[in-house]
Amino acid sequence: MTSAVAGIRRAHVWALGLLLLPLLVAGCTAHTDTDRLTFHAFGTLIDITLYPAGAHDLARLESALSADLEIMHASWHAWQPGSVGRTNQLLVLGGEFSAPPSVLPLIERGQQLEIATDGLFNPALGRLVAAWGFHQDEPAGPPPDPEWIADLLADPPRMADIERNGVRLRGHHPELQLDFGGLAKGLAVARSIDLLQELGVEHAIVNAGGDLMTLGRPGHRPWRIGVRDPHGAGVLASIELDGGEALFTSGDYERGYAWEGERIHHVIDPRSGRPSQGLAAATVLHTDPVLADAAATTLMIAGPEAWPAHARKLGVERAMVVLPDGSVELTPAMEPRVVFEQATQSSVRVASATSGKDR
Amino acid sequence: MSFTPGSVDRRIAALAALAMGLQLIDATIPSPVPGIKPGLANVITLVALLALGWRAAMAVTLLRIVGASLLMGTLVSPGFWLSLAGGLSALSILGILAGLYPRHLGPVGLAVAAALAHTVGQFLFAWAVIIPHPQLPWLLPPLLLAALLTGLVTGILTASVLADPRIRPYVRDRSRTPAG
Amino acid sequence: MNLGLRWGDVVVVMLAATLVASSFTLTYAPASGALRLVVSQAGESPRTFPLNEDRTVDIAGPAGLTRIEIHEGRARCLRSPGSQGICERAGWLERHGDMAVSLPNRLVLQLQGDGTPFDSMHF
Repeated sequence: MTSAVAGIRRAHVWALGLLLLPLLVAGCTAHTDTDRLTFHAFGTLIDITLYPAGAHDLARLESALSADLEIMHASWHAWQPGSVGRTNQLLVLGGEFSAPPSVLPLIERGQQLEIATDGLFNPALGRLVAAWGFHQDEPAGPPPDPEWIADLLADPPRMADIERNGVRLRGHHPELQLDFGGLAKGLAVARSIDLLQELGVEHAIVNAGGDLMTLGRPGHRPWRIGVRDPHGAGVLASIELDGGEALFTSGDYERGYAWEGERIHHVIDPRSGRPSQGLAAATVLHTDPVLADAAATTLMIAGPEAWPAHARKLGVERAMVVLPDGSVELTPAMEPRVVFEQATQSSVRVASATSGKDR
Repeated sequence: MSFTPGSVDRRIAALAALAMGLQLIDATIPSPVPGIKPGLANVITLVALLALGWRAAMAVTLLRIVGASLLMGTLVSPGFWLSLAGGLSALSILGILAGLYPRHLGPVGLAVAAALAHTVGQFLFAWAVIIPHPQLPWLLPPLLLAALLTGLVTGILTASVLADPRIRPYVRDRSRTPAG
Repeated sequence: MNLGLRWGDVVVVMLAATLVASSFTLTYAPASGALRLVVSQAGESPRTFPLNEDRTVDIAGPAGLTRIEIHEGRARCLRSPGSQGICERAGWLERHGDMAVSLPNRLVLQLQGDGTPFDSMHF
């Protein structure tokens, strides 16, 4: 046997080992390379994914993030006392006042978005949202009187009714009430990403009740996101995200209640004064989480015919909507990003570039 | 140093030409993963290895890969790099095992080892660089099986080539030292 | 024809055959093998439960008790606080990635199997 051993020199054994090493490495990296942090804040479940595993002080990150989010939650709360509540009181009085600093960015974006969506996105209609029973922890009826709705819509309050001079504000409509429900989570997620960066984190996902944004990349691979089927337990689709991408969805299955056999959900159409109809959900993928949040709400209100035109107008290229029958439509740019599970494959359509009625 | 081609160089050139031809034929065989081929040209690599030594085998293999991709217009394409990955992996294994020939290992064992190394090397390269899809390993078992089978065929072909009276004198056996 | 077979050839071919065979069994192993239920609750470290034995799991939370039923390799939210019954309506969790949420009790149920794990779930 000695001649066999002599035939294999030591260098050759090393070479063989080096050759086999990638196989071992490939086998071992099949499992999680990330840490997960789950806590309650901002009125919902916050889920933070951190890469690489074991590199962060999770307790420190949790306490910093949750403190920040709780402050934002209290400040921006649509019906409990806070900065938005105080602002609402002062707007109705009609005098000039200095805006609480935390509310200014929401008002600024709100005004821009109202213009960009032709009034479909209107955070000044808090009165209407409250009338439908959504300004309480457990939304409930009865729904508002149709005559009352008609009166309100005859001369509806708008973001444009807020006169802004730097940090000074003045309200010009007696029914004006701010509700930043369609915007606040986007801003909260953006702030949390910034906070993580300040704390030295380079690769993470901030997920607030299912809406999320990414920071950096987990090594050489993209982030793998599972999209849950709203009407069941299964995975509807999977999406791969790069760094700095946000994924937000607005759906009729979130907050709501049943009234006389009808499903009353929290996305109110400013044109009809009633919960929006025609789309079960709208999902937006964008680098700006505030825009993604507002756009998801806007597309749901826009409905099955007009949503592509509104998406284009907002500069949203990657969007997807779910119709009440469960079928899915996506923009051409969204189509390559989403991998559907077998079951939904057959009912997926790409919205044509020229579909929808331009307003 | 003289640049006039010696007899060993001529043989390497001839073998490289043969190997290129085989690789071109190889390229016409369909495969589940684009670029991964059974590696029939390894017969030539083996003959070169056993008749002329490892460095000659390396020369033949590299000439074959570059030459064939020049002929097919695939130089610097993913297919070229895949060929290179497979070829170098096969050469590495052969370099390690060649010392065992002819006493403990015959052309069949060498061919099977080379074919598997070729496929594994190509697959790892494809997975790491070209298609890092997490489900790519699903294609590996049939590819490995194909490698085992082509390895056996290659080994048998090599054995019959080596048995040819025109080649026999050049082949290393128990009484001779390797040529180079 | 003389194939020049030596003992080394036999070893190599047998090793190769073993490699090929095990690659088949490892890659194409039935998926039902390692499925487990992972419960992530705010403020707690994730808890894992196997699905091979039928059992009931009770998880306490700020809003009350969430009862989880594990039966025949599947899991579901049997009862959970919340006026809309969102957790219960998710139904049976059967495959890798399936999930149910109870916001009042601040917890997420998700099945984890052999598939590539998701970094985050969008819903």
